[in-house]
Amino acid sequence: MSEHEPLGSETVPSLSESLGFQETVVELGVGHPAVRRVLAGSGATTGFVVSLDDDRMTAVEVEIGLGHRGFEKEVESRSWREALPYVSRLGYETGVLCEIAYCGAVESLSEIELPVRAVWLRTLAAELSRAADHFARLAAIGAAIALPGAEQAARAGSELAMRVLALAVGRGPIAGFAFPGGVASDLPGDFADLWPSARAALESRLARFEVVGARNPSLRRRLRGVGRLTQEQAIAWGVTGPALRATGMAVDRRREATSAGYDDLAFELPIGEQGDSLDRLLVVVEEIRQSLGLAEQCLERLDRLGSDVIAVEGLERGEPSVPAGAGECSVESSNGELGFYVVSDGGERPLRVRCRAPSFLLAQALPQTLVGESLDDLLPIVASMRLLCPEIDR
Amino acid sequence: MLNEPASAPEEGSASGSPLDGLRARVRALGFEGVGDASGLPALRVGRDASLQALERLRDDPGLAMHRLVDLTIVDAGSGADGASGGLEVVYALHSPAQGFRMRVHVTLDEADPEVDSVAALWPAADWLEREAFDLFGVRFRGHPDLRRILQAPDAEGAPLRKHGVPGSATAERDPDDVDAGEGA
Repeated sequence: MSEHEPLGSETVPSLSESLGFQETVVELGVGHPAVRRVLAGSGATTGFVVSLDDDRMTAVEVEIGLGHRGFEKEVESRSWREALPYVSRLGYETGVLCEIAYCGAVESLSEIELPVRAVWLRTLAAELSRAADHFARLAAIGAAIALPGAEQAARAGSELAMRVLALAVGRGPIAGFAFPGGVASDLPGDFADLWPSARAALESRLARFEVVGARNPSLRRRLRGVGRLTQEQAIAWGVTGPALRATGMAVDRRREATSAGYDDLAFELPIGEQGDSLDRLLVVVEEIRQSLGLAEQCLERLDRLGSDVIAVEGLERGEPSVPAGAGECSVESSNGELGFYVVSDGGERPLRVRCRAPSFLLAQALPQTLVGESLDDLLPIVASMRLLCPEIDR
Repeated sequence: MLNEPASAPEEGSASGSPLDGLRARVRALGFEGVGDASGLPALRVGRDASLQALERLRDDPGLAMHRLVDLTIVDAGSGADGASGGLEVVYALHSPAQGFRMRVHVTLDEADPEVDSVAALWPAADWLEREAFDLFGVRFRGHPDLRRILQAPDAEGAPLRKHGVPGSATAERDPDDVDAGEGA
């Protein structure tokens, strides 16, 4: 008769060991249906190679680059203005924000003073774009944890916000709205009349998401404590945006002194406490509400503004004259600090166009949030971090 | 260590700006001063002392540049007169505590571009340096895992270099002809 080992002693082998595996490696590549479903709205060219012990992730390699199209090279091979169609394709819902950052960098180098009306129009578009992308993030989280009601409520909000944005900028989601020196079109005459009902409809979509999603106990249990990022980790890994604010740090490009268009607008900066997936979700929910308030303040200012000049004279169609030197502009995009650093030698084409994409650093930081968690938590965490594949791969 | 930090690209003149504190602190640390090219506070440090210089910028309590915002390469190619504008690595730093932002430029040797990795100072530099290695062929000494990141592992050359990397397949290609080699 052999003596039995007491239950719970350290010698109990893990499932991998008892099945004779040294290490289980699962590849959740770009073709994986679950990855596609969660990242569908943002490109789905990012894959994960996950090492497992039972269902715990012991190591994660984030694979990027499948969608690399030489963005910086393309832009450096064209004139300053011809870059714009490439720039707006760095994002889906956030295309307008990318344009605004690029134009801001060119304007800072060329010392172009933007007409006040164009500043407010850009800020209005930026906030609608942020709201649309935030709704899309919430929908992706809903999809990742299989809460179809929450997913559909958020998806409806995202689609509506995109329609309002399209109305405001007068063109489709890949906008072509901003250019160095101004914006392409003013608001349609009836926009101010439509806005109250549009805002109410967006707020009711958000309220619906809060009922079926944010306040839903099963969602809260599912996301609380999952994918935690400490403030120290967030800073060390260059994480910005809602993921950084969820750790309790009120850093936002819109609050910095150099940020044009936000100087005298009133808005709150929601922050989290624990830096987990639930805090990221709650920060984003509140930021949608703040963005709608900011959009309304922009409309009030546009209404009061006498001038109807929306572009610097002579730049409506032409190329800006860009002197030799360097310029930069970074904006608070929906998932963090999106910046452009441009260098010119005074010629027709940029010498260097560098895009600092928040998603690139979020993707790099992902293993910090994933290792130690269960494989089931991978997609909810990825969705709550909001990777936009076009700007990761460039 | 910091014996020869070359002077900043252009001495700034914006007096009374909130950057004055930054300027004073940087001077106190023994740097030549903060230039202000196109409104961007910038500092140039020597390549061999870059790691120590960046470490001081991060650890000095008056600066506390705890965030590496971005790291990239600028290849100025050849100017109109044929002279090379040089190759440099540009670090964008942010101090959340002080609210400062600045850039640090380090000039590289074009024929043999190599510089110390800062991945030990800021973990965020890991992928940023891999990207610079991938697209510019710059090597980062002491990087934990320096390999291509955006391009395929078997890609050749450094596409963002203006004249390719000496000895590589892209060296002879016209730098302006981005469509070369692509199908119709």
